[in-house]
Amino acid sequence: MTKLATLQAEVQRAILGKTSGADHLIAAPPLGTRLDRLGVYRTAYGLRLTEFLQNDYEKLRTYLGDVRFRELAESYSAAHPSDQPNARWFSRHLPEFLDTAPHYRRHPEVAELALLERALNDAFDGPEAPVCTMADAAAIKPEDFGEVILGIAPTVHRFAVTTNVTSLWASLKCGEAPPPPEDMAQKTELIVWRQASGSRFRILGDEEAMAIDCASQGLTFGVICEMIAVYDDAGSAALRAAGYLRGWIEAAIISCIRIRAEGTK
Amino acid sequence: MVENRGAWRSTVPPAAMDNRPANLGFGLGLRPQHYAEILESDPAIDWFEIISENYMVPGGQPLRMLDRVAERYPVVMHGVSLSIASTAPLDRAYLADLKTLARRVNPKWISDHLCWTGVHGVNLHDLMPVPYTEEALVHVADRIAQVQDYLGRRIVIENVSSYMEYECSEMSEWEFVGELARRADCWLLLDVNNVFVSGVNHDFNTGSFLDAVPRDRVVQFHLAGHSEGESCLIDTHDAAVCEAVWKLYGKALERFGAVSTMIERDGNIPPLADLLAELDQARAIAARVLAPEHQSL
Repeated sequence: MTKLATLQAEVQRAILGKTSGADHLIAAPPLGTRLDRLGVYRTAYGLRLTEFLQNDYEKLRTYLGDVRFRELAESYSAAHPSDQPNARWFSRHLPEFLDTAPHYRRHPEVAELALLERALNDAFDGPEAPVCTMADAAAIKPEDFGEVILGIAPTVHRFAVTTNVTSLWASLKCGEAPPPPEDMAQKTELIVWRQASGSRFRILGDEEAMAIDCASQGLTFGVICEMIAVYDDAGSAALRAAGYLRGWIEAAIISCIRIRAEGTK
Repeated sequence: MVENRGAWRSTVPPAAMDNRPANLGFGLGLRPQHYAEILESDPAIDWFEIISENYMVPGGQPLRMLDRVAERYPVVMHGVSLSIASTAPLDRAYLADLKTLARRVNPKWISDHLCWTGVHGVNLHDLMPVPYTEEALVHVADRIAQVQDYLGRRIVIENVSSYMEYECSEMSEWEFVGELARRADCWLLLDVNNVFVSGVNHDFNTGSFLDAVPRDRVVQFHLAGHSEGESCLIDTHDAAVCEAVWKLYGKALERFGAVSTMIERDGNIPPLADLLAELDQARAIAARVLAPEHQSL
């Protein structure tokens, strides 16, 4: 290792708190001590990572309060030191961290709130894609609809939650006191996506959730209709499927609509 | 001093007055808080500097806003994560993203800091100071040459604020910066606030710093506010430019002439009108210092 590499490794270890100090490397400052000056970087490191988390999980911070959020930031930073040049991605492991952290496992709404906020952030600056319009759908002949493949916008995130996290989120957004956390008897299906310039989410019924998951898997609209028919009243299945499709198109969830090429599955 | 250079041989044509970036005038950092007002009112700002990493994202509102601003104003890209002085390998994925953004924005130039931000796969997200040694000089000059070749353009390197210096340093910061610019054949961004902060923190003469920086290399000035820590000044960018920094800016103008100037503000972000007033202050100082009667004195 070169002298420069050794110096950088030692200084970094000191900033991460893994050694008592690299003070022998630091020149005596005109004011304060060597450790004071190294301490500026050490303090800034913790503050900066906490700030990154606060920016990405604003509602979680409000929910936990400053002290608990700071403790969470410290334990998360220790477990997941930043390995990315872009601070935007530092916080990406937080929901999974909370899911497995002993203290928070007893509070599943905390991990779910983080999951929802991460999905909203990811939708906000997620990849661009064309937006399918009703005119695009109207251009498809009715007899071809069975073979239609739907392209789902790349900003769409689908997951289910088991707590009243959507109510918590809504209260926190309005600046109101959140309701007590609650484990729901049934899971709630959510979709998060970007429409125009903002990210948003809504609760899906189980049937619609199943339908959009099938579309994401590349199944044809005909197959989706058949699955909807099995799910509930077969007689109105086509109508329900058409309603879902209209809603997805109007919400900019569909990025393209095309007829499956012959011979492909 | 070619014998002191590392193994890399640059393919970017040498710096010369005829390929030196033009003076853009007086700019501001582009911040989301001001997007709407900028696009609605076309304020009297000559150019914008963006934090490159804030726009190194897949898509969405940040990039859409940037596209709209870049249609109306000259834009400069300013990064914080190049880690040019790190002994870790150059991050090729980061450089590829930087190049992609540059293709989109068509910036007047791309800048980053004379610092390292981490080693061994960790990013400290801070501008860590470099030891001013011959070894570091060779290392950094070599990496700048590699980056310039990859990006196909000369980059701009900024002096940082620092809170500590190393025992092993063999020269002053200004000697290092000047020699680096010559060896790496890069441009320089002179952060006037950083010179002031480091001057106080390490008790050096800021005039010596300005006098030692090669005049023909400086293509941009930064101005910013700082705050007082317990044992030193901290480069926080969360306050207005202070009187001492304005004074040093005047001295920088005397030495380097008319150079693209911008005000950085990253915390306690005020209304745009406040920053425009600060920018007018910079304009007034430049007009006074660069006036023919002043120069003949």
